[in-house]
Amino acid sequence: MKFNGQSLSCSFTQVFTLPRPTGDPLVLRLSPLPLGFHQQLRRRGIHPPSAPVKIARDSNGKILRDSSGHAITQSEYSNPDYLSDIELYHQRVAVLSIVESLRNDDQLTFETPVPSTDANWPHFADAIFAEMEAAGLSTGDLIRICNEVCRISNLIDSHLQESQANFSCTAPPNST
Amino acid sequence: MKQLTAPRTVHYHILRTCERLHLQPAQFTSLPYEQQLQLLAYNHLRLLEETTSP
Repeated sequence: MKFNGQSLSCSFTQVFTLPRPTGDPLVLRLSPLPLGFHQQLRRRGIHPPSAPVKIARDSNGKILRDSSGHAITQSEYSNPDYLSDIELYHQRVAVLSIVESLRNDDQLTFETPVPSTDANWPHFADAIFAEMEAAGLSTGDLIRICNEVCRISNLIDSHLQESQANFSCTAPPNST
Repeated sequence: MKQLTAPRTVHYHILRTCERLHLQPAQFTSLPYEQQLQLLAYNHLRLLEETTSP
């Protein structure tokens, strides 16, 4: 059943207005992320990258070893490839969070089809990002939407109370 | 009933719900949010009923 085009069973949604520099603001209907969303992302192949590791050497180029004789390693957190990989990872997480949060918004659709297998999700995220960029959404816009998604995804206490109330009769039972 | 030492986390409630409803945690996490909340709320009410009933 729908009322004004909105499904009545979809509770917990929040209307979010994103101002646009060109005029009419973009009105989005956001929903909280499902619990365990990060696990869902991992199942779909969205993993944080690992920093490359190199063998530590002294000033003479000799390999440094610990007391057991094992070579000491160092993670290269400033490696340019790693930095771009981590940027891409955060971008994919942000995009997929927004897509998931927009699941109850009937007004907004993406051209890229939702993948049928878990393997295609990284490409799906990249294609959606390209769509968002083409639609004029900036990185700042995505951050604003993500902040709102985080906020409504942290309202579990009130959502739980709302869900519990659904199990109780609103009017007292008729005793006559 | 024994007094709990601290409020339980959401993760604990998810595991309790999965235990009661014979769900794998992965099955629970793949459900839509609205359904997850319905199951958590049901389990919470059942726990309350069990601890408050004579």
